[in-house]
Amino acid sequence: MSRLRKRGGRWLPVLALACLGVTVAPHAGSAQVKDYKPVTDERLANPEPENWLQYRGNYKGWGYSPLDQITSANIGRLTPMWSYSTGKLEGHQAPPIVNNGVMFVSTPGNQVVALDAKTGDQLWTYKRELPEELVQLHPTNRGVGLYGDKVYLATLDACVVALSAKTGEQVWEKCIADWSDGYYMTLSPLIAKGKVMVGVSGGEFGIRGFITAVDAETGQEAWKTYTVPGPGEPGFETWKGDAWKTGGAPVWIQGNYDPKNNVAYFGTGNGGPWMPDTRPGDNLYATSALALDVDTGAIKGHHQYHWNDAWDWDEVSAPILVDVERGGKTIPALVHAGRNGYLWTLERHEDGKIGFIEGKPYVNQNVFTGLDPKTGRPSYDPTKVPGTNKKLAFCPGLWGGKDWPPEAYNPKTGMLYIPANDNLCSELGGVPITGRAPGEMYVGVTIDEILSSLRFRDGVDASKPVDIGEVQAWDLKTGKKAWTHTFQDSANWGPLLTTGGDLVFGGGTSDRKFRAFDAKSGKVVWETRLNSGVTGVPSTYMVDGVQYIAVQAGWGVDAERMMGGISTLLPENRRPPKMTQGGVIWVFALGKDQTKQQAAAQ
Amino acid sequence: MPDPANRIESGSAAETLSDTSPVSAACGGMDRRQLLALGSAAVAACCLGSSTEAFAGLPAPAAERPKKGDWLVVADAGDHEGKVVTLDMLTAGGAMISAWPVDAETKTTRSGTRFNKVLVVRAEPDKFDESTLAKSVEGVVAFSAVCTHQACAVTGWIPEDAMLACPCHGSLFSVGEGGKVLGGPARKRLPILPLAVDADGMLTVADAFTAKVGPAAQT
Repeated sequence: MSRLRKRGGRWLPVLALACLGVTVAPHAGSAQVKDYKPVTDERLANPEPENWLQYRGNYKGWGYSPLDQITSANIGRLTPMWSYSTGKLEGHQAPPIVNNGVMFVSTPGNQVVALDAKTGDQLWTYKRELPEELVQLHPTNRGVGLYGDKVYLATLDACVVALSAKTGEQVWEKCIADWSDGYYMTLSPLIAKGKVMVGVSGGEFGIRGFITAVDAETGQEAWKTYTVPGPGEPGFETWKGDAWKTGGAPVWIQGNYDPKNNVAYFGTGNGGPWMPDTRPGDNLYATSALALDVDTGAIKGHHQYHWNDAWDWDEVSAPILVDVERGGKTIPALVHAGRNGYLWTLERHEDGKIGFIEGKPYVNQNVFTGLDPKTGRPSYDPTKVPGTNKKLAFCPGLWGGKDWPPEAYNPKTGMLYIPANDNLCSELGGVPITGRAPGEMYVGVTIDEILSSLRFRDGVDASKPVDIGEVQAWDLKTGKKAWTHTFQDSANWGPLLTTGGDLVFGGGTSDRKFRAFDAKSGKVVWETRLNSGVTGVPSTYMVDGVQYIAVQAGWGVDAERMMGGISTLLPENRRPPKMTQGGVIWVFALGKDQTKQQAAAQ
Repeated sequence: MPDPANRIESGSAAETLSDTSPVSAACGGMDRRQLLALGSAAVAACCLGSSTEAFAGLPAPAAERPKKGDWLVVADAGDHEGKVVTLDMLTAGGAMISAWPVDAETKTTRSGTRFNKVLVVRAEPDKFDESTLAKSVEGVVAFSAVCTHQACAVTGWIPEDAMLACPCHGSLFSVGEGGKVLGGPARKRLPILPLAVDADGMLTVADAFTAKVGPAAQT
């Protein structure tokens, strides 16, 4: 697009119409957005309880809403209010984002739908015309960002698009990388101080990861920071030869933000290619938490969870910002449930530096033999480190203790809730890697090997139902696990939401159920079966005094791949049927009490 | 704002723009009909910023789909790159060759889009179904190199099972059964580029791809 934009960017939407005979412009619905309330830094930092303005509801990454109309006591009345078919297949992962009664939902295929959050009336839709040749390794999107009077989408062809929140019309677009070279985006943008911050995926295509900020008003690039340092930059010494050029460390989950210190925290994926011997060294800043100055993009601090990754353990979930008590002192901390199976607590210094507090396994982990008490740097059991032509087993498996689905923190209970997977291992080995071709897989592990890599942990008796998926609750004050709910014969790929009503919501299992847990006890207090498996991030909001719970159902992407692998380990009579795809937005609220109504009628 | 759908149907907006807009040059001054005639890959090059350079000149055989009379040249990097693909390069159960079609008239290699790339394999023809047999020469068959699931480059060849495999999501396609899906998430068979030999014994393209290359259209 860049060539055309230079010649006459403002004609582009019309030109696209002329050339393609299809529309990339929004389809107006029967209703329009009226009285749209602009989103400000202040509102993002202190969201009103009735709104869900970004991916995790707040800058801290909590996935928490103080709304408390729905509780364990009344949740039996939770009923679907309306639903909406997205018309798309594949993994629906984005949260319904809500600003004063207007809901914005992104779907696979880079479609955005605006709906009346109370009635479900469609206000507008936007469909991006994606290049025909685009490879979609992860056909999904994890949500839009809101700022001012615009809606921002990071696209599969590596562009940031700004839409009018009122009409869905495209205001500008800025392509930040070349999609034909394997770069793409699936994350929701982090927006602060007039900057829209996004990162690139493509670690399986031999990319060099980076985070870019563009101006919210114009789309102009403000800064670009590589997650793999180049010559002369700090950390470059952790790479050898030309490996840094294809070093991966992609960023595919929204960062969190500390407005007080003006620092954004991102998580990064594994180094590429997968096998560690292809890129000797620690490989900074792969598998790390990164602290960036929002004004300049400068790296102010980092913590590498594990060095020279060999297991595809992306650590892309940004660490959540929470205060913990240690030795009678309150410490500003970062907490991250690692794909490497360890629960990390890090210290957040004012200058952006990141210190180590503690790390401990929350699922079976047999790779780390210990952590350096000062730095948290793990040491490895060499018999659990696969390599090129070196097939070895390790636990947890390559999808880790927790993949991308976000954990949630509830300040009322003081607990961190983790959608975890346990008792799984992988057996994996690499093949010699050949030359990189733009847009082609550059992994060094065959897809056969990946899809057939899963194993149950030694000692698991697969003749009986096997505990795999979990929701774990950790008391961050004591650092101890408070409760665990386990799912048999199914992984858990369900992002979590927690509320002031002392509830935790999530789906993620192969039985298509969406559930609520009592946040204190872990008891399942409500569940319902949806159209397809739920890997969407749930959100909650309030309109006209009614609290709603919203989530997208629509199975696909890695949840589907991993469940396919688990199925082969189960006896035939316990294998779940192949999940049907197709996206639906579900919205629930408390319905009338049927029992009381019936009693009154008699 | 006027309904965009109406603007398209009328066609007038597009035509007016072709005459007056500063970007008409970027589309080579072509009208919509000419653009559509070029095929979707070329249109993508113009309108969607594809990396192909289909608009360097007209026509653009480098991005046009292969047709009857084309021949194939080796696309794999190495000593054989650019050499004409011949039957003796392929053995049953042996290595696969990735290849570009070459336009017989202009001698243009159709490498303007990876949607033109094909995978040429040799398998046991006695295991081919009739339809595949008719599109093959002595067990040599050419398939589109683009997965019908999510457009990844199909790079896997499992000769013992006569299957092609996609490295992205694990879709498997049967060589002997016309590219039928044998496993993985793909729903649509892998298109064949039918082959023949000409009077000189040269391997040529006998017809267009059996189906649209790449995934089914987006909804």
